[in-house]
Parts: sequence; C-alpha cells; structure tokens
Amino acid sequence: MPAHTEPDGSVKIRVESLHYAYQRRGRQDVVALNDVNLTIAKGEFLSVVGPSGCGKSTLLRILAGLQKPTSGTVSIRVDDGSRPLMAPVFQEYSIYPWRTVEGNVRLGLDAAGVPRREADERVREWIHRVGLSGFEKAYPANLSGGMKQRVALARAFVLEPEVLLMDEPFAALDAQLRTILQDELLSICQERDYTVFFVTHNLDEAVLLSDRIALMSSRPGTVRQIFDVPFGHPRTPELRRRPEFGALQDQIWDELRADVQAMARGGRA
Amino acid sequence: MSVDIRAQAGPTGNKDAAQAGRPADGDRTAGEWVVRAPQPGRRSVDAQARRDLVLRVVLGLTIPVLMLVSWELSARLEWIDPRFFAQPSTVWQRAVEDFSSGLIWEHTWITIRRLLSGYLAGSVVGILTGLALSQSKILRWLFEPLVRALYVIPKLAILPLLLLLFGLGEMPKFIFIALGTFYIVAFTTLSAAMLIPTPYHEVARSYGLSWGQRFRWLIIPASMPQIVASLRLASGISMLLAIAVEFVQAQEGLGYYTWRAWELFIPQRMYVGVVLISILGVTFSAVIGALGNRLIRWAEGEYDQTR
Repeated sequence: MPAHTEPDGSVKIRVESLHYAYQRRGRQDVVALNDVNLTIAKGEFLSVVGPSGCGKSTLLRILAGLQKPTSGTVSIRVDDGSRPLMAPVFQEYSIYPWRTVEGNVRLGLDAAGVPRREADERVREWIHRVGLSGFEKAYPANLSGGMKQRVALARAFVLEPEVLLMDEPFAALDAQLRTILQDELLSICQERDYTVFFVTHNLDEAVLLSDRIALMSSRPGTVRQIFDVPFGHPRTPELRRRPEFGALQDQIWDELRADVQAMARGGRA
Repeated sequence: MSVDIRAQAGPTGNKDAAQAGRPADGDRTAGEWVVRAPQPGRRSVDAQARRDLVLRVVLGLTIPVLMLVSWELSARLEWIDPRFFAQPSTVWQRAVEDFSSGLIWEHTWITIRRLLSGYLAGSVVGILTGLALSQSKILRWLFEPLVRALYVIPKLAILPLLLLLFGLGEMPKFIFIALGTFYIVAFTTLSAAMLIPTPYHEVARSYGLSWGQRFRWLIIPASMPQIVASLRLASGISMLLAIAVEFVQAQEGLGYYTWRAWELFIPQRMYVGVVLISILGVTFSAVIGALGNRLIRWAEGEYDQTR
C-alpha cells in the first residue's frame, strides 16, 4: 500500500474549496460545508469523522452526484472504464421492498446490462459473503434491519466499483455483526484496488479500516485535521490490541470531544 | 387473511393487557412469582384459521338466510303484498325460466362486455396519465387544473351530453364507463407516483438506472399497491355506471332487463336482475382484487399492520 500523506499522480478524488449551503425559501441558508479541501489517493481508504451535523453526509452525497456544490468542485478520476465508477451505501439502506434480496443485489448489474449468467454468479457469491445465503428469494419486509443493511452492502460490492462511498454502513448493525462485516470489508479492500470514502461515528472502526482519517469540525463543516493511520496492510482485527491503536483513537477523541460536548450542551445553533 | 390475524392477535393481546392492567399489585406478597406462561388451551395457528373461516362464513350467511326465510314466510302468510314483494320462491322460478330461455345470458354477456371494455380502457389510460403527470411538472401544471375541475362534475350529469355527442350506440356508454374509471385510477396513480420516498430515487440515480428502467423497476412497482387499490375501487364504480347507463339508454344488458321488468310490472324479474347485478359486481371486484394482489405480493409483509 502506498503512503498517502503526499498525494502525487495517483490522485483519485480531489475536493477543492467546496462550499455547500442548504437553501430554504424565506429562511436563512444553512451552511453545511465551508471551504473543504481534500485529496484522496487511488486505492486509499479514507474515513471522515466529526460531530453530528458537520456535513459528513453532505460531502458524501456531493461525491455521489446527488447534490450539486454551491461553489467549489469535486473531481473524480476514471482509471478503468470497464468498472462502474462508484457505488454508494446509505445510512437508511433504502433497498427496494418490491425486489427480493437477489433482485436488490443485482440492481446495478441489471441496469448495466451484465449478462444473466455472469450476474447470477456474482450475485450468488456476494449474497454468500454478506451471510444471506438461503434468503435469496426473501422480500425485505421479512428481513431484520441488519439483514437489509447487508443487502445494501452486497448491492454495492457486487458492482466492484472503483470508488465505494459508505455513509455509516454499519451503524444499524449489532456489535458482533459489525465486527464481522468490518473484517469482510478489510479483506474486500485488499482483494481489489478500491478507493473508499467512509463516513462514520465510530473511531474504533475508523482506525481499524482507514489509511487516513479526516476530522471535520461542527457546522459549518470543514476538514480540521487529517490523521495518518500508521498501520500497513494486510490488517487483521488483532490490530486493536496494539498500543498505537488505542493511542490514535484517544488522540482523535481529544480533538473531537470539545465539539461534541458543545453540541451536547445545546450548541446546535 | 387479515381477519385471521386480527382474530388471533386480539384475544391474546387483550388478555395480556387485562392482566397487566389489573390493579392487583396490592394483592401480591413478597416471594410470589409472576408467571408468564403459554395461554392454556391455545389452538394451533391452523386450527384457529379453520375455526375462524367456518365462523366467518356462518355468521356472514346468518342474516341473509334469516331475511329470506322471513320474507318467504310473511309473503305466504300474506303479511306483505306478494305482488310487490315477490317471495323468493317465485323469484327463483322466474330466474330458472329466464335462464333456460337464454334471455339472461344475452343480457349478462352484453353488460360484461361493456363493463370490461370501459373499465380496461379507463384503467390503462388512467395509469398512463397518472404516471406521465407525476414525472413532468410542465404536464402537471398544464393538465391538472382542468382534470381536477372536471373531476367534481358527477359522471351521471354528463351522460346526456355524451348521448348528444356520440349518438345512441355503444360509444357513449363506453366513454361513460371509461371516464368514471379513469378519474379514480389517474388521480391515485398520480399521487402514489409522486410520494415515492427520495432515497429510492437516489438509489436509482446512483446505480445508473436509465429512464425506462426507472419506470419499470422503481416508479411502477412503488406505486402498485395504491394503483391496485384504485383499480378495486373503480371496479365497483364502473359496474354502477354500466347499470346506470343501461337504465337510461339501452335496448339490452342487465340494467335494461331490470328496468324493463319494472316498466312491464314483472317484480320477480326485477329481483332476478338486482341479484344478478350484485353477483356480477361482487365477482368482478373479487377477480380484480385477486389479480391485483398477485402484483403486490411483496407488500404483504410491508403493509401488514394497516390491512
């Protein structure tokens, strides 16, 4: 894995003086992002942490093309025309209730017109990897929240996109399952050169998975500090036992605490 | 189905609530156990469902059968005037005669044809219109005020106009029935297609669905439960309109059959007509409902609570 502190020719995503304001008629604009600058290298796993409402999700949605910047730009470099550029996993998993598990996972493949046999195979494999074998024909109404989220993960992974955009994908899962899927995500990222933009509240998760961690300030959000995670690859969950692991987590938390406390005291305005 | 679920959840739920709500706390002594155990004598789900079905059929038939019996008796005993209240047995005789002469079949067939053609045309155009308006602000602003203004005019009120414009043939009847169906289906489809949650649209966008795929995989299935509900509602209303138009202007059909019986003063035949119309209407709605439910099987779990 390359070192990511000095972005060079292998830049994958470049965010330049990005501003975003939510505009509502008759009310003052809410500035969500204020002058965000960030580069993400090809194959890098970047986590974004910050207090609630700091614009993490807004940043992800702009990357996904679901919202347009108020000013500034986001550029994403295409490296492999044969792969989908990006696939998002949202917080509110939003899988289609009228499609079976299988049907949901193959949504992107169907849209891209991947031949039936190939699609079937990839769908089956991914359903297995997220632990949903046997539920292929089930409708989402009969699944638990955690299972729905795993369908949403498989729906993104099956496309093998260049960039994975993940908005707290494990937040709704129980602790055990979260650990298992974190491991799975680690090994997925080591199989192929994914660039991952990962929004999370969970510092442990951020340190375990990331190459770098961007800390955002409370609203209006901006990147306050970037932490390098001093571990190479391949990684295993045993990393958590290393003293540096806890130290880094504490260091980030020290920076974050003041913002979160201000918010908890009702400093939301 | 839904009745079964409620019937099961009801009694057990109520008993639990009653236990919890009973102000028995004072009676309890230290060291006593509060036990939650299975309800004694609880039936299996299948047994309960069978029992509920039997009970439902028996209860549903009780009042009609009682009414028929007392009607027959009171007519025979001449408590009521049998010339107006033809007793069930003579109505049955008339039905048998009209069936064997083939009279009823002809009229029924014509009514079915009118009903189906008007209903199908109205539904299809209604769904397409609703979908089109839901996707285009321009179309919506262009057509919605007009369509809404026309909506409040009772369909029966425009029947003379249709007869004037389209003559006395099948055309005005077809348009009349189709129009009644169209409004219900179009409005329901429009509002359903506009209320699809934003996250579903975002998934469609970020997973690269084309315009056509968005319709087939998102907009149509997401609106389908409401569309099916409107198709059900419209099935009853189109039946009503079909009979109404046959009362007013037709030389054949079940509506005509019944109306003509009144003009000729054959009360038995009127009763036969009324019963046939209601059987046809109920059957039509049931068929539409069953077909519709096949389209939205996925929603069974999704909307369980509200059914």
